[in-house]
Amino acid sequence: MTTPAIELRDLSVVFNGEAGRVQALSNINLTIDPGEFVVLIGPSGQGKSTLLNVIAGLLKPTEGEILAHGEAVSGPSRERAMVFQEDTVFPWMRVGANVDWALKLRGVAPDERKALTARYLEEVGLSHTAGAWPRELSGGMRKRVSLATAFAADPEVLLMDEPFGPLDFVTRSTLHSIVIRLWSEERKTIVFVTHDVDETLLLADRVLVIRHGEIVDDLRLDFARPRTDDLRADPDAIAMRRRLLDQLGVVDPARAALAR
Amino acid sequence: MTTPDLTSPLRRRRLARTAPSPFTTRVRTVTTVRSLVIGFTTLLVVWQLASMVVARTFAVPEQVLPSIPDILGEFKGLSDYWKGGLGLKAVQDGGDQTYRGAVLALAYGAWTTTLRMLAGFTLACIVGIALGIVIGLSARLRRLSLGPLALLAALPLLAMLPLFSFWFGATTKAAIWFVFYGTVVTVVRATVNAVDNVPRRYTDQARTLGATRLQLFRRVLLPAILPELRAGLTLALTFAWSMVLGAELLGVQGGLGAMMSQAIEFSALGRMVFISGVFIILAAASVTAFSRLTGRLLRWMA
Repeated sequence: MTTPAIELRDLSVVFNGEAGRVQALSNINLTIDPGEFVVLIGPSGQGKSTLLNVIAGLLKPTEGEILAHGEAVSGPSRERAMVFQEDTVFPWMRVGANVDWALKLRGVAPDERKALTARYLEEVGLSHTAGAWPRELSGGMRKRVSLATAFAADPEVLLMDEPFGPLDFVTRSTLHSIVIRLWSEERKTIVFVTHDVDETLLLADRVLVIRHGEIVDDLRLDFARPRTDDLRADPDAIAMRRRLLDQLGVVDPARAALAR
Repeated sequence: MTTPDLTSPLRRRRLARTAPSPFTTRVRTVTTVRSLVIGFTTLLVVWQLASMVVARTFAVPEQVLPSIPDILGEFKGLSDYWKGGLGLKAVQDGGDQTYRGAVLALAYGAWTTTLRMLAGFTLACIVGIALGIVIGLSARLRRLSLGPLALLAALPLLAMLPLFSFWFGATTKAAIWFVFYGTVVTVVRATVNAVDNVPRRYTDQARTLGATRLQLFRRVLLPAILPELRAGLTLALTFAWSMVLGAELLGVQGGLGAMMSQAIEFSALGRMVFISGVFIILAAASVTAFSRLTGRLLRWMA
């Protein structure tokens, strides 16, 4: 039996904010296998990002424990690199230097870094921007730099927190295919947070629905890969989409009328 | 996917304009040579016009607002402040008033004042930035230091000067420590705020990439605080000039301020104008130089 990539045991997070005690996560038990593409989906503000931050080691749980490849997590680590929702490309480093720094932190020898930086930038289609400042790039391009940086860190688990939220449809599609390609090439475990059902159907092996700080549903998606936009017409996918939308609390007025 | 041509300067500038800055503070205090010339010329013209008006209204106009030619005529008198040396006898030892003496006196005064200012300011930067980072990184220290810092900032600086003369005498040492005292609080506060304003997402990103504390400090914190720090240091620099001049005006020997104090004693308005002129040029040039120097470090923002 293989060691799970991530294991959460009886995990709870309580925030003591100005609005009083907020139970962000309660009693989460979860095992993620190596190589799995797990999507955490749920309405906003109900614990998805908190869960991801706990796995990253950026947030200490109030109770319970986190194991990454069998070892207790006590803080952030390169083995759990993260692509954030916000723009985290360092504006004071040129694009190439951003990727290069991740390689340096990973301990890659200086003479190997140049070729690797070029390779990761090429993977995301940004070879020509190595010498540019991040401000010279569009938001979508900076997101690709973040992806290249995260993969350059070569983590065992890659955490992605609504990474493509504010981007347009075309840019998102491009980024989805880049993620899927890198994931299948490098066999990483990916934990991906989103509130987008279509994104989930396209990416996930396994979907965890999170509501009110709890995992309320754990589903497997066995649709064949590579998945394309045609998935939208697949009856199983439509049923799954319906189920997820229900879980998210989306009420279709027409359907509601039929049910009555 | 279209790939923008990043080699075209026009395209680059357009992209730069549309890309949002992650920082709220952007420094745009670059003083150009042209703006200096325009400002200086305007000042001269307004002065001359005003002196012409004054000449018609007052009995002794040269003691209120002398005309530009009158002021120029007083330049030689500045050689009174040359203490002798470089083959030129001091006026007080029986030497003649010369243009060379005047230039030497001004240059030496400017040199003395600049060195004192730079010594105090540099010291304030080193101590202030270090202290500011330490305070800024700890929420508890930040809360604790809030009161003392506000108190220090509220003290009337010039009123503290006698204390410094008492401690160090009317010496260069007193001037340097006074400049230090007058600027260090500004530097500390600017640094604390800058550290506090570093977006959390950058430190989080660095930590998930496996950065150590030292790496986080050098490659993330330092560059991230630079834009805001630069604005604070520019402000402190102008304070430093006021402090050094104040110290020299109020007793510390030597430098432009001491020359100014003697000129005031003898109501030598023309001499005062020259001394102020040199002072203003020095202060403006120092801000420009500082801006150029730090501008290189902030190319990523431009």
